[in-house]
Amino acid sequence: MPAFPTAAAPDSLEDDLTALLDVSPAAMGLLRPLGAPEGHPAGFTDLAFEYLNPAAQQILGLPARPTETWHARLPTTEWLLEVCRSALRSGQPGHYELPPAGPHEPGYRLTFRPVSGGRLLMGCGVDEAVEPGSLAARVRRMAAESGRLRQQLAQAETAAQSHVQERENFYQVFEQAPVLVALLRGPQHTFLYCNPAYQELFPGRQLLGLTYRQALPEFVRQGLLPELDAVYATGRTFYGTELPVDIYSVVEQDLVLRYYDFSYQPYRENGTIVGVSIFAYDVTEQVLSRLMRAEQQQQLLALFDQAPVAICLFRGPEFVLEIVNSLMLDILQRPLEMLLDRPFCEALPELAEQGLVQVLDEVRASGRAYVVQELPLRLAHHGPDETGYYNFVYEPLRDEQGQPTSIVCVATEVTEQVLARQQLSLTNERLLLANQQLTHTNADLDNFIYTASHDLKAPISNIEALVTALREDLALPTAEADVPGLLDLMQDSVERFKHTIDQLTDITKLQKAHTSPLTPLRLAVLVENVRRDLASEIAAAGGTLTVEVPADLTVLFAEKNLRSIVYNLLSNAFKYRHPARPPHVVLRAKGGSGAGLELEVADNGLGLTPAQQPRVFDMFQRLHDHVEGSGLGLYMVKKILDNAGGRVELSSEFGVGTVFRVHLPN
Amino acid sequence: MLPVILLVDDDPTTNFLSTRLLKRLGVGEEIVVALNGFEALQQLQQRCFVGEAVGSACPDLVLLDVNMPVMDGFEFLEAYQQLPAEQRRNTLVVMLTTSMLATDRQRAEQLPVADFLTKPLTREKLATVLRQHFDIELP
Repeated sequence: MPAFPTAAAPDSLEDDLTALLDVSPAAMGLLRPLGAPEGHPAGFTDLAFEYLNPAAQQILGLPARPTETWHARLPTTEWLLEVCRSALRSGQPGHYELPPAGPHEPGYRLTFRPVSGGRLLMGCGVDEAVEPGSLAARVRRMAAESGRLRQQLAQAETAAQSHVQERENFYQVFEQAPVLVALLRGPQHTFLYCNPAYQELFPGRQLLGLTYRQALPEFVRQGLLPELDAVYATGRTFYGTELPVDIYSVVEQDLVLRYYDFSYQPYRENGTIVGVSIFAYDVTEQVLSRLMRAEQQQQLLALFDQAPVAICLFRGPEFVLEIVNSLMLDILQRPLEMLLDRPFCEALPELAEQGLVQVLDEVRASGRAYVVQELPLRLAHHGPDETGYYNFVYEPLRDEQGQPTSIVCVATEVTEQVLARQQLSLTNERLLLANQQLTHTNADLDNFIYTASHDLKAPISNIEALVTALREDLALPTAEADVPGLLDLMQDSVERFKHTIDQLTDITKLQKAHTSPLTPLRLAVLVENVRRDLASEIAAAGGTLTVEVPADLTVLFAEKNLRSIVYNLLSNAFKYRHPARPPHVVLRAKGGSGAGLELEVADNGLGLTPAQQPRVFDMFQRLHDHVEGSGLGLYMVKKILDNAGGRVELSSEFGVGTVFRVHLPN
Repeated sequence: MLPVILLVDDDPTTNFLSTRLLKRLGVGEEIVVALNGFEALQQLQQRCFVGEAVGSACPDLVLLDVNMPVMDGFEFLEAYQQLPAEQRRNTLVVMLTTSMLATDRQRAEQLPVADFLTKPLTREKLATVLRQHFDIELP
């Protein structure tokens, strides 16, 4: 049996290493550049698979020494060949990570290390950290195939015996492998073999011939010894992930922390467990990279959380809430766990009902942002009459291919501002209305003051002149004086003054009349009552009153006010009759019961000239001088209707008659 | 003294007092009363016709109230203004009112009004009008 060209590899060890290579869970292979210029292996055009161990054969689907080249087997993987070229150029191992292709797919870590003869040693580790189950399943499948593997091992041994160079290759595979390999024997786990990569972890420390406990007390302290014992006792492989190890770095001149994935596998002879093999991979870059990503993620989340606006992120077609910051929680007023990782419809059903899912669908389909201002929305915490107002943006986020992957929502609540503005607007409207009423009242007041002062001054000035006249007459002989006549005139003036005061009191009452309670009134009954009150005046004038009011016509109005309207219109119609004919007055009404009321009083009296008509509703206007009147009746009719939101109109022809039309609001 | 004075007012007491004062002072030989502007206009049209007899019965002075039914003082003045100038030549209109708004005063100043007096009519107010417009001094 030819020996390996090294004193450190006795025959028995060579056999062990060969067996180890063939049962290695790591895929390993030796690659030879093709088409490279002399002395420049990196200039290759293709790679030959010089040898593949069973794991490599399995993952590549090739035999141990295939005739197929890299390009033939793995077309369109030029990027991997670039890693190989780079490794050949620099003399340093090149790494490449293949992330898992799906939830049940393992990831792969490929390492290419330049070795003798311008060749490359390829190692491939399965990404145990990403999906522990898959590798375990794969190893179980490998165990099931152990019979076949042993057969292959025998074939490999036969081949090794007949090909010294190939045996050298196998040994080189272990010696130069980027994978850490050690072989422990016996129940005390005595180091039988370790490759240089493993030894590098413990520079200057003797391992071979020592037990695990003696050689690596720090790992014993990390609790790994019971696992070794268990593998030795049960035959079940143990997988460890990301074991932190302080190793001395020649570059750093100091201890540096590295992370390793590793396996303890039982090693059998004749079916009996005689030891444990250790395979370990350096996963430091991967761990550091993951830690950095996690840290960046944390920083991003912290940034989101401290943002002065509410932010959340919806992922996928179900719009699953992936990020929800504090301000968004404030707006939504529910705990984070009720939102996070839940679809929109489930997390925020009330918003889904208000059409926001359709908006999100539209943003996802169109790829266009949705921006809205002051959108009224009812959230779960709102009361029955409460509405919130929000400004927000749905902005689609895309992957490298431009496909929308998620939607970010940035929102601010503006309820207070909107309500304040609505309140202001309402206040302004009320203010405007109050201002209009005030202007109207002011005009009324001006008119009132002028009219009142005029009508109060008139009797006072008469009294003043009558007092002067009385003084003169009192100085005269009794026969020439008319003291009783002057006193009568003074009495008349005092009465007139009192009458004016009474009228002003009536007007003051009228200003408050619109607060009178509304009651449903049968108009026909009310008109009949007024007719009775006016009966003697109608009879004295020899007139007639025709009433055309439906018996069931009901009006909602203050009774005193409606009576005042009917009384004044009928009373005027008879009072201002034409001297040449008996008065005939018609009162008609229609509508009522929610439809508004139309009331009409038509007479055949004196009528009004076009010049008189505009003044007919003014205060203290008496347009005919031959009849008594306060000049207030029509002013009061108009005032009552103005206050109630109704109106009064007239059409008149001088010498023919007048028609007054009253419209009462609904 | 003035041959004819026209009083235009709807208040009988005012007319009584004005008539009494004018008679006591012996200012007017004939005092005519109209209860509103329309009656006053009719009086002027009857008394101030154009012809050889113009001026005999035409009022020399009209004392005019503002607030009256049928036709008020302003409406009267607007109608009076339309009469031929010959008919108005010998007549002077003085407003006699209880009170007057500034706007009413402005309106009146555009119309043929010679003076403004506030009620009640007194000897002093009348004396001023006669002195200024008729060059007559009350005794």
